[in-house]
Amino acid sequence: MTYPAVIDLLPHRPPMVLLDEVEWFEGASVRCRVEIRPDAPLVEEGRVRAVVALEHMAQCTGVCTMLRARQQGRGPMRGYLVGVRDLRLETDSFEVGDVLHVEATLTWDGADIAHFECRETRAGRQVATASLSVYRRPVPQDERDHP
Amino acid sequence: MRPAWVTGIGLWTPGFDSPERWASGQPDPGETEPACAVVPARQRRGTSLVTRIGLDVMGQAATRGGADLSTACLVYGSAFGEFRTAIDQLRMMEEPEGRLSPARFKNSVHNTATGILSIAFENREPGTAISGGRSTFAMCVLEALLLLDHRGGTVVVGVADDSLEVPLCRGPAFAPLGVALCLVGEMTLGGNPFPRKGVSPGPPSPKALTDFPNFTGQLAWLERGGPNDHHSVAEELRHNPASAGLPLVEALLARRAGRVSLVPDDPDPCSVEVRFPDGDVP
Repeated sequence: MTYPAVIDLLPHRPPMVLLDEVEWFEGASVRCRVEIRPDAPLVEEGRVRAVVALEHMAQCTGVCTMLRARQQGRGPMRGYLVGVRDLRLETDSFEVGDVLHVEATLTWDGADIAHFECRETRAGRQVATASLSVYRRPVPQDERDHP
Repeated sequence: MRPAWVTGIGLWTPGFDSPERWASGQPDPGETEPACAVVPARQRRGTSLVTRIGLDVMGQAATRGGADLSTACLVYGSAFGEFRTAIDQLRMMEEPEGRLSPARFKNSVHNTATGILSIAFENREPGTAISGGRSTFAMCVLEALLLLDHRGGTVVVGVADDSLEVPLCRGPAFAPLGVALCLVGEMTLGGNPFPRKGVSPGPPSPKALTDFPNFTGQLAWLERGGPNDHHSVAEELRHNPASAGLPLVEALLARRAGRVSLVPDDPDPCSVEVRFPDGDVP
C-alpha cells in the first residue's frame, strides 16, 4: 500500500521533518520509519541523544491525525503537544545509520484533545515509550487558502 | 543527609481550611475557596485554583512555623501544575479573535506560586517548582531536605493539585487539595545546636525549639521501605497526587513516631521517619 509523503501530512519543513516515510496505517495506529542520517538535525559526532525519540513520536501523532482526517474527509488539523507522560528511554543515544520504527496509537479522540500511546523500536527492540496528549483544532479555511 | 524539623503544617481542601480541621473530620460546607491571605488580592488576580491553594497552604505553614518568607527557600510541587491554564490559553488562541489573556499567560507557568510569593516578599533565595507524578510530594520533600542539608535555614514546601479533564487526568476525578510543611534545618535542643554546614544566608544562629509553639516533629529521609497503605485517606482525595502528603500530616498531628510513606500505594515507596525528640507527649 502506498501512503502520502510525510511532508504532505505535516506542516514541518526540512530539515525538521524527521520521519522518512509512513510504513503502515490502520484504524487508529500508524507506524513510520526514521533513519538517522549524518546531516540530520541534532546529530553530533555520529550520534543523536535518545530524547529525540520524543520529537519522532510527536511527528508520528501528527501523521496519524492527518491520515485519519483524510480518511474521514476532514480538512487539515493543527496540533500542539501539551503533555508527555511516562517517557521511558532505554538507550542513551541513536547512531548514524540506525533505522527506527515509530508507532503512535490514538487512544482518546476528544473534541479538541487527543491522547496517543507511542513506542519506538530499533532492530526489533523497544528503545522508547511515552504517552502523548495533543491539543488539536481544524486549520481555518482562510489559512488553508493563504498559508 | 541531616534530618529536618517540621515547625508548621498547612492544608486546604474544600470543607477544610487547616490541618486541624481536616484531622477533626468535621468539614465546613462554606469553605469553598482558599483564603490565600499570604499575598495581597491584586497579586493573585488571574491565578488558577491550584495556584491559590499552593499559596494558601504555603502561607499557613510559614505562618505557623514562624518562617520569614523573605529569606526562606521555597519548594512547590504539582503533578499537573498549570495544565488547565495552558489548555485554556490554547483554546483562546484558536478562537477567531486569537487573543490571549496577559494576566492568565503570566500565571500559566509551573512556578507561578513560588514566583508570586517571591515577588510579594522580595525573596531572592532559591525557589524550585517540581512535577513528579505520584512521587511529586516525595520529590519535593527530598528537594527541601537537600536544600536544608546544604544551606541550612528554612524551607517552605507545598504541593497542590486539582483534577483535570479526561484524558489529561487518568483515573477518577478528585477533589482539589494542597499540603505544605515549614522545615528548619537546625534547632537547639537543650542548648546543643546542630552543626552548620557551609555558608548559608539563613538565620544567623540556630533557633531554639521553644521558639516554635507549633513545633510538630522531625523528619529523616529514608531511601526505600516503609508502609505503603493509604487507606485512611478519603476516596475523593485519594487520587489527588498531593494526597501523598496526608499520611505524614496525620502522623505529625497525632504525634505518631515511625516510618511514613511519601508515595502511598507504591509497592516500593520512599519514606521518612518521623521522630519527636522532645518526647511523645504534646
